[in-house]
Amino acid sequence: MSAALRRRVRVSALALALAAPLGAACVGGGSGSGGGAPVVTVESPDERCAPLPGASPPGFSFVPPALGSLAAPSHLVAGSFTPSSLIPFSLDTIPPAVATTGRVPAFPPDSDGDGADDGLFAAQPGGVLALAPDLALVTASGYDEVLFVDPRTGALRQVEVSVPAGLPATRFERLPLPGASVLRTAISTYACIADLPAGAVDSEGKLLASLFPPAPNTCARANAAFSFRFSFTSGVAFAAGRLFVSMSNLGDDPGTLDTQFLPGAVLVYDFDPTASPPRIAPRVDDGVIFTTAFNPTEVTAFRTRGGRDFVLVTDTGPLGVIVDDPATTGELEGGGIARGEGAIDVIDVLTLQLVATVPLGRAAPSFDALAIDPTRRVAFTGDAAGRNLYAIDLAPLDSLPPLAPGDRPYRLDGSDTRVGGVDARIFDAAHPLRLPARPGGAPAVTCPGFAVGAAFNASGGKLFATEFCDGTLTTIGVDLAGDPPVPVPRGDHFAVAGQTNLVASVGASGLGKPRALGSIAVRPGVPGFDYRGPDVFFLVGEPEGLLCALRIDSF
Amino acid sequence: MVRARLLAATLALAAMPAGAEEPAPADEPASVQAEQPAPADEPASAQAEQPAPAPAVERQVPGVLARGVKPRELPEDPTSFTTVIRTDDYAGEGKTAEQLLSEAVGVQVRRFGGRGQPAEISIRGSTARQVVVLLDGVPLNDDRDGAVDLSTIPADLLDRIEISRGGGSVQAGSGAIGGVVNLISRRPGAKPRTRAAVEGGSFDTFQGSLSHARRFDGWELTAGYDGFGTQGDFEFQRVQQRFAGQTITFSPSQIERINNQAESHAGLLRVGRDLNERLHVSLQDSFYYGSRGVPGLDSGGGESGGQRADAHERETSNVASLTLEASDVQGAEGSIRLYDRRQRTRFTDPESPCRGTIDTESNDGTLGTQLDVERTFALGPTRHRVSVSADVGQDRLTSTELPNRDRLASGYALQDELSLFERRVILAPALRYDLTEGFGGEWLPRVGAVLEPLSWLRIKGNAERSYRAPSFDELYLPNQCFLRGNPGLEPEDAYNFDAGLELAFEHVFFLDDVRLGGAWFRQEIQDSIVFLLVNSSLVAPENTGAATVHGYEMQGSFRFLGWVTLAANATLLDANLDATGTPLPGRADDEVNVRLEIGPPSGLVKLAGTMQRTGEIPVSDTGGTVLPARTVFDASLSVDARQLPWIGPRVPAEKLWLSVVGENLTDRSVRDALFFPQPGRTITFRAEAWF
Repeated sequence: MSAALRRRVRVSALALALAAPLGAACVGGGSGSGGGAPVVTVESPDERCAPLPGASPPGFSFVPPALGSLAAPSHLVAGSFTPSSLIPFSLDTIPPAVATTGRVPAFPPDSDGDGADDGLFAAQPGGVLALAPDLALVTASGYDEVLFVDPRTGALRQVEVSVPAGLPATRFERLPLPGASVLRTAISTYACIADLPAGAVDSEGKLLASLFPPAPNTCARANAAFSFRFSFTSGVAFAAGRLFVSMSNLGDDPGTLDTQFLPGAVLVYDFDPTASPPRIAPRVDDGVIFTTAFNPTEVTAFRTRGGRDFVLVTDTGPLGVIVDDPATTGELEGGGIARGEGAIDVIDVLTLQLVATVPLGRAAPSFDALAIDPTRRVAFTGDAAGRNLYAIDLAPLDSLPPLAPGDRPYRLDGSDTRVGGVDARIFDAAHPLRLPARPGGAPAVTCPGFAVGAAFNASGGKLFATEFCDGTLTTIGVDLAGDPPVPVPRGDHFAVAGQTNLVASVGASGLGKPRALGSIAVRPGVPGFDYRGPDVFFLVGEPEGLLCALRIDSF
Repeated sequence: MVRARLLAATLALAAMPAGAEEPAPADEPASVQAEQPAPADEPASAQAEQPAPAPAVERQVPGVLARGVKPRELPEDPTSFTTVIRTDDYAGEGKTAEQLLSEAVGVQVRRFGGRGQPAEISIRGSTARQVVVLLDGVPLNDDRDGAVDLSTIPADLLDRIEISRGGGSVQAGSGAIGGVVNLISRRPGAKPRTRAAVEGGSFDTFQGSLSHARRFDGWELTAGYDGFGTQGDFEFQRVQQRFAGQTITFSPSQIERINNQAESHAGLLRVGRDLNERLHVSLQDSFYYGSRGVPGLDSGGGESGGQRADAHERETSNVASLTLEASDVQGAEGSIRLYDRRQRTRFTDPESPCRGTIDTESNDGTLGTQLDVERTFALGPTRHRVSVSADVGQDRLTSTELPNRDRLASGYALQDELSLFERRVILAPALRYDLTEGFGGEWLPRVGAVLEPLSWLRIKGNAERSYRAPSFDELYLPNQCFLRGNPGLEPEDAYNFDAGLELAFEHVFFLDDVRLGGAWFRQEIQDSIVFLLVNSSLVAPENTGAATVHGYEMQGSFRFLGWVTLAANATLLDANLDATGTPLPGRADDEVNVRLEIGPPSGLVKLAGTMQRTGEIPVSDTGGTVLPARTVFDASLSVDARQLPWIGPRVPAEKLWLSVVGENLTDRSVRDALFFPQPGRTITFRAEAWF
């Protein structure tokens, strides 16, 4: 064979060998649909608990039998992250049972509730508030919005969103233009605000005017010294025909010791849930209420004994994350730390003024709704950075005098002579109610404590508090008989009555067991009279999300 | 772009002339002779027709059960349970390293995406960090993570893979709790060999390789290149979660894997020289470059499913070694090796949800030396093969994330392989002292035994202690949003036990080369390092309580009429936390592999099919969340065009395999980890030539 022929043969063979693979570029592949989608089974490792899809469930809410009813509910709805959803449960069994026969839908990637999937991710649920058998509200911090959900099915439902003509067009860029009225499944809280005082600062004390200079960084776009966008929608409450939504306004460096917070605020919307469909509209002039402290994480509707309606805002204050000290090689420091003042702010729902504040010091009040006793005398909250409970006396709210526009809120720490120096603080950072640590529980240096939430029993004689690190349920005996003075004396009326290990501690000792205890709630009504079945419900976060129920005859 | 580069590289290397046939040199290194008494570059079917020569030299090789059917008697050896995978047995099938490993008994491979995406190995229920992976004896485990990404291993450049199951700390020091995987690159055989392969298939996936190995005038040369690229943009089904009688799935239910492109280039060069009759020196360098998107978890909603659109990783690594081997020097043989492993990794993500912009780079490596000396002698009725080894390595790390770190590790081992009654009884006690800077010294004893009461029956067992020092990431990872290292970690500590038997028959009725084997194993682990939620905002590694892994391995193979080869294995695994009895997550409780190969002994056609059934995989440490079991079928049809009458004479190659390969033929949705999808059905066309 000649050299030329050998070369031709070699090239031909090589070409043949290469042709097939190159042609394979046209070969497609499968999508894994041959056997259907992979079905992951999630079972509860605890017979008291129902499993939830995804770990660290964000919250749950009892569904009242009617709007505004205080009667015993028969259902609740619980949020889930993976996938984002709201799942209805019935309350009559241990463990609770899912209360819908249809398939619970996942929230779509819709940034503004207009029904078009325009986002890259689904809204992540945060706070949950069920108002009526057919209406629940879910805060979602991913797109900053409040979702409207049917608690019977977990499906989104439409609400009429009206945008007042006088609203600045730059205020809510994800709402229709002013003057429009549309059907949406969410109301946006993604607000651009340019109405702050000149001296407004962030949680580090830096002037906002220097952090957010005018154009091109301003979101208000015109005639604004500076502006910034709200973020991190946290809590929602409904009172007197209005919806109140807290905005934590998280800035830079999340998850660090020096996380920045911008001035916290509560957005106010007019809301009529009885209309068909329900109607909601942002308020034009008084729709933004700035809080006295940073990082508002929850809002709780409250009616005083005298019938005055307020919304109590939990200002957690700037919260940092403890970093490990490399010098201590045998220990892993961690946990939350209060980097500034916390407080409970008081908003008058009729005047939409922030009329009072109860400063709690460097307390880091927790993110759950306040626990208010049946006599409406005291409100308790947990501690996001410790094994403590904090409480305020609600009696002074009934007698708060009107506040002139522009006046600073009444300071109910004994220093404000305008209100006779009344002090509404019962337990604060200087005088906390400490929950006992669990023997052999989570190492204090790694997990110094996180009192997640608290709930009163039906009689008001007991307060139940959950602690994340140790997995414990602490019972506090409460005695408010005899109309105690203001503030209710600490030592005489509150005492730790007992502690139960509900789940395992976080960390190595909890491996293989449910752990990361979360929110707690007591079912309204008298157990055994108004309902049968479990009376106390709580969430567990790891490794599976769980909704758990107990019957402890909390009454 | 990727295709063009691969094609250009392959064509350029293909211009090298094929080597002329040369007679086998008389002074081949002993290691090559013992491993491959028949020519190393012929598939098993061809070897079956040749008489099996006696092994020329005894060599210390762990207990071996080769995949597939080997008509030759296996080398005699000590006690560990080892599988040898010869890549040439899979000629034309284009199997990747992770595929070959996943089909081995006792091994599970966890993949985090399609080809080119990370894959890690588990042996007998271990974690990936508890398996030491060696390339020609040099450890590849990186110092940051402690594990090896199997997707970076180019199978086409390997001659074989040896998997030693069970504790291997005496052999490999810290890290070998689950076992040791030794990747053996191609070596020159009796005659020069050039191999070239090109394949292309689904999801714009292409791979090409070229290698050449030869001996001449006392020199040996091996050179190889492997290139790979893929778009990886497969569609996949989202997970459905069934809980409390309900089922929920993400919206939409089917999306595309984004940012999943990958490209890699790997090469190997070895030059060796016989200095004299007893001394051989070799210099080897292997490099790897990989660039890939990092899509991450699909745990969110929407079209992207929460995947990262722009996260990217680039890795460059190089392993160089200089080895001097000596044989029959005053009755002893041994080797001394100096090696240097370097790895650079850069990770970028312009929009990390937690940390904003991420741009990190780390450089880690090990500079080390290994010394092995072995001497065989008789002492009365006993015959001893005593080996002494020492290895010292300096691990070093520089990173934009972590403070610079270095750590000195050394190990000194002594083993005696004591045989009695013409090797019918072998006892192999061994002891290693391992010293890791910061963790002090550890004594690692091991004892193994083999009984061969009958020529077709071998019974063996082992008991040993193994351990693993924490990796740099586990110790020193700085606070990254919600993840951090723990400098207070203690090493993992384990005791391993196993026992089993192997049967080998030339003929059983109408079946040839019947091999059967079974083993029981148990591992008791203390202080396992697990990443855990330690407070509401932090996940960190912690030493946890005792865990026990025990199980059974079964395997068998036979040939029928020279046309049919059937091999199967099954691994049953029970891995639990002692305190709660709950399962260790990430390990399937059972896995079954069946391989059927049909084709004439001439090798003209080969139809190969595999079935892999993987049992349920617990995802959470309570066992409450479980991935479903699945069965996956692969098949390939290969034709040696060289033997086709109408085309064969025109083909200049000794063999030219033209193949079509189908993976996951039933298009099952496969997940080894909860939020890391894998592709469905994949079709690949491959051409592989041997010159």
